[in-house]
Amino acid sequence: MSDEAYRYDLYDQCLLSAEPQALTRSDGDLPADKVWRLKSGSVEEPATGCVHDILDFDGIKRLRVWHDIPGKVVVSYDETRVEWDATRQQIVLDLSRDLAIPVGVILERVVAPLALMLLKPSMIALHASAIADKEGRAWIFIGNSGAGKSTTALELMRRGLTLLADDLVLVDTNTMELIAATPTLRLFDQPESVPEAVQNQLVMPGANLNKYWYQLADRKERRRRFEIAGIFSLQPIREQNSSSIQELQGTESIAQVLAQAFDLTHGSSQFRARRFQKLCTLARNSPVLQLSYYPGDREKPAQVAKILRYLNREDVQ
Amino acid sequence: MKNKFLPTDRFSLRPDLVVEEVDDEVIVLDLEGNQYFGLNNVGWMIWKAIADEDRPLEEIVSSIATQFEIDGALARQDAEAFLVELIEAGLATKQPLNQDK
Repeated sequence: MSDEAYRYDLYDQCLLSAEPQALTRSDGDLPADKVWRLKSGSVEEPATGCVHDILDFDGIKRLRVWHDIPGKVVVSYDETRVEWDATRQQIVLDLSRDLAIPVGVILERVVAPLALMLLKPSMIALHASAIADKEGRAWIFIGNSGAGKSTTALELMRRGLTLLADDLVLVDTNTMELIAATPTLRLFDQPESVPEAVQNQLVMPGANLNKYWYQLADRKERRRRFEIAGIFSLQPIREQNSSSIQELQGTESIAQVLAQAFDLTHGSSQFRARRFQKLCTLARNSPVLQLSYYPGDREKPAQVAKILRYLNREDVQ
Repeated sequence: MKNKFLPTDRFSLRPDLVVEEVDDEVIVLDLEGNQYFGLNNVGWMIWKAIADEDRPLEEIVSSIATQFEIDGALARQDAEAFLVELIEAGLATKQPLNQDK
């Protein structure tokens, strides 16, 4: 079968595969440097060059990343290994037999962000969610775990805005664009609480509610890059009637963004310096708005109304 | 208040520091100490005088007094306080006295 039998979107890249994959089908033409051949094969763990070594949020799955050879990134997640090779424009999958998570999810949420961040110097990844407003501009939501990033994105989507990403946001700081992912959400909730989802999967059991991954129907618009309009830093507070939106400056804005920017456990000084410089570029070009809000009623998230009022202001460009 | 430095003292900044400007503030990243600092206008002026021009304290103080139209003694107090902060944070050192300039 031809290597090009199946074409898939992965962020703003196109994957060509001889076999069907759990990814979004592609119908666009992209430049050669954005087209990758996806194939199965054997991937060895490199002996040197480990830049990231961490247990996943469940404390069980180990994630390791190697970047020793220019143009090549190797990712080992659980018992799966992937080699992302920019010199050959190919991605080699070495999959374990009992894959609990679909390979498309592993590629999109784990491998691709790491590979793109390491291979493309202008890329950064944020622990965030994002939507597009009615003018097609991206708004990013950052905050600590439990601040309401995913809930905010879901509720804004239900009010007519477009979900671009959840949990992980990729930004190209050369063009100040967000690169959208497949529309998915990770929420502590019941499986039936997101009826818009086309499928869901348990990703982490919780004390009262389990965390599910919900996949939503793909966006009608196939555009993958969105100009960034601003960043909301969500700060739940205890005082009722004290919600506010305040634009942060200088070190205050950097502090918010730095805290949510992906970092490597064994990153080089060069990587860390570049990471800081890219985040400063992001903060210079996008307003960082601290949204303090009282969480209140879970059925009526207070921050959503405040964000909509802000987005609908006449002086918002 | 007793002066901490001599008027002819010069200072050096660590070469591995990363400096970026965001809004009206200059932010310095110290990778070794895993911390970052914000500099205001006076701090940035002193920083540049050290980094770019290798100027002694007395010239830095004079520039501050002129630029911000403040008393020389106050300018020296501000400059010395900032330089002490830099040294204590490990970002700068005072050059030895026997270096020829």
